[in-house]
Amino acid sequence: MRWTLALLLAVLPTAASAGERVQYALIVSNNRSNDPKVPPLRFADDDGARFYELLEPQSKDAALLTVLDGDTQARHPGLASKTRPPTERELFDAFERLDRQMAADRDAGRDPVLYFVFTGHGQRGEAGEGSISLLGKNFTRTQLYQQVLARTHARFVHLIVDACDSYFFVNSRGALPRAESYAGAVKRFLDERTLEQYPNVGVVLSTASAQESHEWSGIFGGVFSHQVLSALSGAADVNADGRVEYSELRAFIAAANARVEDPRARPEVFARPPAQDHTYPLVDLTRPSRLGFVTLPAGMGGHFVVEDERGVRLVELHKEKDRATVLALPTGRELFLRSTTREAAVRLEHGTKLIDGATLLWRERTVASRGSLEETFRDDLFSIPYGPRFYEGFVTSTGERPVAPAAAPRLEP
Amino acid sequence: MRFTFAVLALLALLRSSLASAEAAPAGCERVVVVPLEPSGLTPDEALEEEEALRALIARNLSVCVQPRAKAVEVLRTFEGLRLPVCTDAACRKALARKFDADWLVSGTAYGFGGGHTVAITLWPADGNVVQRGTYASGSALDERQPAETVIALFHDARLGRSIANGVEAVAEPARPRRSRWPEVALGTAAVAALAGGVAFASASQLTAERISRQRTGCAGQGEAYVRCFEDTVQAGKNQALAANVLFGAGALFGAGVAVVFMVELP
Repeated sequence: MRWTLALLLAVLPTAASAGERVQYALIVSNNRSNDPKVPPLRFADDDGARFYELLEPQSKDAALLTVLDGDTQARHPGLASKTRPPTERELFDAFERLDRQMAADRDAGRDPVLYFVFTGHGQRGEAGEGSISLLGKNFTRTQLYQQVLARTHARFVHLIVDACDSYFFVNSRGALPRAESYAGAVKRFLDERTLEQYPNVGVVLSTASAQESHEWSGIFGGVFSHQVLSALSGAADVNADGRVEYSELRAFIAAANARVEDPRARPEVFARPPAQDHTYPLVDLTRPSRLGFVTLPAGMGGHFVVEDERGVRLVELHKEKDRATVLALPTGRELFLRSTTREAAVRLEHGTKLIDGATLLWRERTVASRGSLEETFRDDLFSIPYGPRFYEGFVTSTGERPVAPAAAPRLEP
Repeated sequence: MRFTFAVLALLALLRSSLASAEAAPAGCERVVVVPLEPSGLTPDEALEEEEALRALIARNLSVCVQPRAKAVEVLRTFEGLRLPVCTDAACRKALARKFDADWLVSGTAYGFGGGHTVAITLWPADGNVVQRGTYASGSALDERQPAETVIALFHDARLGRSIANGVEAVAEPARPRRSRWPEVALGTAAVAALAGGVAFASASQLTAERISRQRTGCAGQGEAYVRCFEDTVQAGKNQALAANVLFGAGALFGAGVAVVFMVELP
């Protein structure tokens, strides 16, 4: 008995920590391009702020490299003090800091996961090499591979890039691309053949072609980032396992844009899971975090939006009625859940249990409208329901491996 | 009038509530807990939460929690092995009947943010009211919170059911088979008193006219005449007094009828 106990005590700490997912986030956003001919973006810093607010509460450590403009500082009070400028030096310093912790995690038997997120301008260099704009200098594909992906101790890396092609924007504003597709340019930044040498890296890329389609003032952010953030908040979790896999993200974004006919307004996504494990989730909301949770239960269907008290749209989805959807949301601030006709206020505090959206006090609301492309966004985005039915059709048409079916209750008496 | 109606409605609710409490079975009500849906949890973890919920209800409420096997047997008959989503009382009533339950409890066991939360929905056999609630569960948490939540949910559902039934009772147009003798007796007495009053008042009036016209019918002279005259005057006074008393009584009886009528107004 004593031996058994001793053995248990010796084994337990290792068993408890083995395979435990520990997350880190390195988020870089930059409104400005290093090309003086390229006008700055308006909301890349907002996107960075929102990625930080979603990922930081789930992370052991997180860094946000950006310069928030005045409006963004007002929309995210207190956040500016946590930021560092998006320079190459700060990027490597932040990466070193996170990577040291990830190395320690690996030594302790944990599975560190790194989110590397960039929102801002992307471009091709003279030699055809893709790069993204940091403050004062571009960050090239070679640097990404050699100085980040090759060196990291992360067990898995999720690389999320929302960088509009300023090259096309400058040369044909608002028009359909006439030269090489933007998707091609972005993919070249990554060089898929090189990417194959990093089976622990999954990527999610925006392949939109013009700034006009990239950003929308109605959400104070980029359309693609907004959809990715909504998906990662749990709206894409089709099988209710609390995890969002790459195929779920792709299906969610396909559903969100299914009715968008204007090519300027249609964000395209390139998403590829880590070759090592195609089912490795982009996000695992079941893990301990400082987020709050609201469920929209079965029976509540339709288009829903979650905004905070400053009008920042946090999550958007069009939910099928049959299943519940759980949304991960920030704590400590007033939030508004809005359907097309009703709205309810909710405030989540850290440590509060999950809140059932059906128990909130819903009241009627009015809807305001805006101009033409904004109408396209407002009317066409998220216009068809996303849920198991859409997902099944999507993976059937793309030939992707679907996520595991939703767990049913055990029915053994 | 409106106030009276409100008071009366409240009385009816209380009466209905008492009646339903009295109608509660001396034994117990059948509570069926439908297997909880897992969300962010494995089926085994959801099963643990479900068994804990079943034990919680059995421990804290005077009801008969039905065996899991019974619920599973019925659940297997549904498409996708899941409870259909109900949005109206008829659907809920049909489900409760299918499970042969006085109370049907369904819900989801969630595992998000490192904790477990159970969200349950509860409705009675008639499906007229639905109560929803959530509680955090887990060994590190205060065990009273789930119990308090479940007790409050059943309490609110019972109250809601009573109110729903009470409102129906108030709205019913037909009144009970109550006897109307108080109104009839008081009304008859009022009419009789008023009629008597009229009769005595007329008699008093006639007497007064006879006296004023010197037609008292008194014969003779002297003391005998005076006595006869005074008797006639006195008789007239008595008739007037009787008439006034009867009018007063009639008015009182009439007021009584009005009060009883108001009190019994539906």
